[in-house]
Amino acid sequence: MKYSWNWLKTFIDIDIEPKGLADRLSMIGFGVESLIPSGSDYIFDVEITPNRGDCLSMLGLGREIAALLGKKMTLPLMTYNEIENKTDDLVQVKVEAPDLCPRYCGKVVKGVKIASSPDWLVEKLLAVGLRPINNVVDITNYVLAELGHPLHAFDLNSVMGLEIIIRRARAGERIRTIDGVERMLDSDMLIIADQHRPIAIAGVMGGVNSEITQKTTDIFIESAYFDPPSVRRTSKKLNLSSDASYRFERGTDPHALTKAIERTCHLIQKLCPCEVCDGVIDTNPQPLQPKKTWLRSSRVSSLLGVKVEKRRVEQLLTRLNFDIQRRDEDSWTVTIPSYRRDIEKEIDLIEEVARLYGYDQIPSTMPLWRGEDAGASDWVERERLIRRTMTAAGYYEVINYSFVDDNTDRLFRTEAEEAVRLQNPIAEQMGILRASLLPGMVANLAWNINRGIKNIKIFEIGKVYHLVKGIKRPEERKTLGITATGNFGERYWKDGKREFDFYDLKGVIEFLFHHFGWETLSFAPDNIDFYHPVRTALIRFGHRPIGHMGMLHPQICAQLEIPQNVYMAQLDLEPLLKAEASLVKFQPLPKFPAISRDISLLFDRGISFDVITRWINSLKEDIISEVKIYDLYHQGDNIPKDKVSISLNIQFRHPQRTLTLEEVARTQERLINLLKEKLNAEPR
Amino acid sequence: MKSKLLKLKKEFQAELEGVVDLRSLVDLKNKFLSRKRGLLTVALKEISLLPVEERPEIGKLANKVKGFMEKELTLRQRKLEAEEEARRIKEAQIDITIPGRLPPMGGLHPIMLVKEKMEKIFLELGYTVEDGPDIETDYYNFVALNFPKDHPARDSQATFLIDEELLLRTQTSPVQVRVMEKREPPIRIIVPGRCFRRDWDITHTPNFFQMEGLVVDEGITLGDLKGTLEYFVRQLFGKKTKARFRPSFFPFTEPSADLDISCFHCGGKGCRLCKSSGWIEILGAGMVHPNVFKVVGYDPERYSGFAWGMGIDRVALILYQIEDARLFYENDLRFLQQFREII
Repeated sequence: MKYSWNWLKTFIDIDIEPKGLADRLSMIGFGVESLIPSGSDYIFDVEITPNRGDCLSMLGLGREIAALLGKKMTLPLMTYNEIENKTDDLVQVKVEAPDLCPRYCGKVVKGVKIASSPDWLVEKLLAVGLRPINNVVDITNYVLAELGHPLHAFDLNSVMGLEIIIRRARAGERIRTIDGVERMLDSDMLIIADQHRPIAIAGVMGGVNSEITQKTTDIFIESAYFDPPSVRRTSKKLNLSSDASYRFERGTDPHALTKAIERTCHLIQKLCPCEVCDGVIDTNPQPLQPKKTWLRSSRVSSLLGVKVEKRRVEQLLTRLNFDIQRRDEDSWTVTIPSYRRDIEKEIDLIEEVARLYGYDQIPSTMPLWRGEDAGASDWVERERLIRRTMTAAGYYEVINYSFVDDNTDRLFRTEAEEAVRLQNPIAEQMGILRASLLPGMVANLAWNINRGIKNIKIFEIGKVYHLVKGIKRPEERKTLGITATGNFGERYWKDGKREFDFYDLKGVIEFLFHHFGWETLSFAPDNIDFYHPVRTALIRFGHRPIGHMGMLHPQICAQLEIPQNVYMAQLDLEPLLKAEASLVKFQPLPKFPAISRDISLLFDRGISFDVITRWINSLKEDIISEVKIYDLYHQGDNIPKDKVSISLNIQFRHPQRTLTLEEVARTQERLINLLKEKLNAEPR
Repeated sequence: MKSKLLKLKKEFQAELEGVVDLRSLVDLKNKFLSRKRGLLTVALKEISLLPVEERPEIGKLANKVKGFMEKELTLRQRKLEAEEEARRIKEAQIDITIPGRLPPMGGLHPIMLVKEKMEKIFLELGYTVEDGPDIETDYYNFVALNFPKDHPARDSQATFLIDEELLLRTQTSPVQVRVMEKREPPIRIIVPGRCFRRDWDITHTPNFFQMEGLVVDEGITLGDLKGTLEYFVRQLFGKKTKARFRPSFFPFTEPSADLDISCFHCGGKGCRLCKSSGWIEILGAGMVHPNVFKVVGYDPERYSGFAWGMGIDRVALILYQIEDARLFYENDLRFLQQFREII
């Protein structure tokens, strides 16, 4: 909110420079966002926290400045002359909803001449960001800016039946507000009505039907206290916020209603000749008793960590207009000013003491610790290590929004998966919570490819969200996503370039599991729609499926306009973060050398390596210590169309002695014969 | 015979001069010393034809010549080999200015780098890391934290709604309540996590990361809050960083504070980063409100505590001097490749 230096100075003798005042206001809780010179004035833009609605005026912030500087305030003039006509002879006020309107005051002023406001008034309004309209409206706005109390002026002759009724709206009632918009009302909304129709939405905005016009001569000035949550609900529901509603919802001072009317009358009489009617309509002259609470000196010290002298506590609170009386050796009874709606209990008073005492005066200490041993839990360390493993494998971490486009996400969901929908998404294409990390990550590939980066390997760790049948709360699972496209590595001299493929992706998953010593990882053929039908696998950990991997289906790839093959995997991290960590048990180094043999064989095209190794294992030849595949050829290279050439490297080793070449040759022959017999293999 | 031997020696010497590589050296060796047809070998065989009295002298000379030749050949061979080796080494020269072949390079997202660094500072102080759901109830996200319904304090936290009851948490603070409900003091935790608000501009993204901290025990003071967070900012932004606490408002803490740090970029003189103020606002904090303690069943007369919350994205923006928060979620590799671990 904007504050004028000159205006503030009409209440307080400020004996420091504007810059100094700005710094000191910041240090008592009023952050000055800017201080801008404007002619002979300075404009302070101050951030007022939602609890300090009482400071949304020159007088309100002025009270804080007076407390800060230890000064007294001079209140603005409130004097005016009244005629004999009584206000309550001219208009009746009836509050039908006292719960939402605990106090309603009003006064009639007759014979006003509507005109533009004088320059001094216009200047002041403009300085604090208010738009001048006409003298009567400007005065109500002026009083709002000055005292912080919202007022509304009705054209009295538009009030049908000369009766003001404060009631809940009836379903179906409408009002055109002064911004020209027709508003639908409902029975939760408080309105001001005459005998026939709504004439204002209470605390939010007046109606066109009773607004001040050039023809207005008699006005009814409303000064009311409306229930803050009610004003807020109405304002939210109508999506209509005003200077008045902003203040009402932050809580106004129910005791200041008549003061605001008096100040208004003083100003109206100053500006134009008019007749202020006698008396004020006041539905509840004593709306509430002053609030009292207590404060303990010992509590101030123990919470702030510094001994604040009793005299100092008394001095600081007195400056803030609290009435503070000693109760006993340690405590006081404190009466709270009516405008301080944020203060209820001792803790609120301690904050008042602390902020005026100065946070910078409180010595810094470190808390003692008497709890159990602490530190990072296993899952924290493990997640960290997963990140490190992925970066070590050459992957960059990405973070995507949790929101995705339902249509894209749907491509990456199985039929059983149901996404969580938002009621109020920020954008249409961000309407659901992601059920998979893959749509976002595939979009990351496309983004980079479109910017000329073709070789990409990325991972993401984040939650995915699903609706679960029969449970109200959707499920959230921490998940690892991996996607890659382009060449496997950077292109270097003397190195061939190779496209990233299925086995690179599988390898990084194996690498990750190897890192944690988890040996029960396995891959099985699968048929998830969004993968290439014959290049995909289900990933199991133990016997439990924990994810899937493969090549993105070429049709989806084309649909997403990605001109490269895309590989991707998604793994549920929850079981991995919780899985047993295994400590390595050292294996003695082999004492005898191994003998290595390479064999190349032609197999039928559909062979699986898994089957080959299973048959080799069935030989139960203890001296075969390792079987690796080191070369693989399909069609071309003189390979028939229905065949595949697999080159195996076999390590032979005996734990207790050196092997003879003869026994290696014998075993190798048994192996080849078995593969010939069982798998129709032909040596090449 | 004698002159013949001396002639052979002279001839050998002359040819040796012309030897430039190992191959011609072998040729030379064969020419004179080959076991069958070597010129000297042939000459030596002739010695047996000489009169007996001449043989010792000539024989001695012949051996001397042979010895000379063998020695010279060996010496020359060594020399040639050394030259050859030197040449080979010279020829193996490479251009050491060509950049190396990098192993596959990866890296963490800058938000995670900052998150882990922040975690580390508190883990070293003995805090534990806690976690909570992204999908929260209105109760945990607001009501239990002393944000009543229809209160303007909710304005600063534009909320994504799922249904009447469930929403996306706007802050990590609900985890405070969840942890306190489960556990008795003393408590010393941090809660890093994803939060959601309906804001989207150059400094706000609809989801972002926050880190919450909470300490509860007997005798915890505002001074403890100051000391802890001053330590934290020195660790994160450098030893010379100063902290400034200003009164502020959060419904679930009282007294509340905003923490500014002296601008580490200009040292407090005023620059673009600190908008010429010399200070950068970094987090909100305060003493846990007694109402929150009541909600979780703690006795506010016995226990006190402090809490703070800060945007990890915001810290990353400041630390790396990034001007547009949306870059974090574009995941452009040219952006991601710029970061490295914070020591």
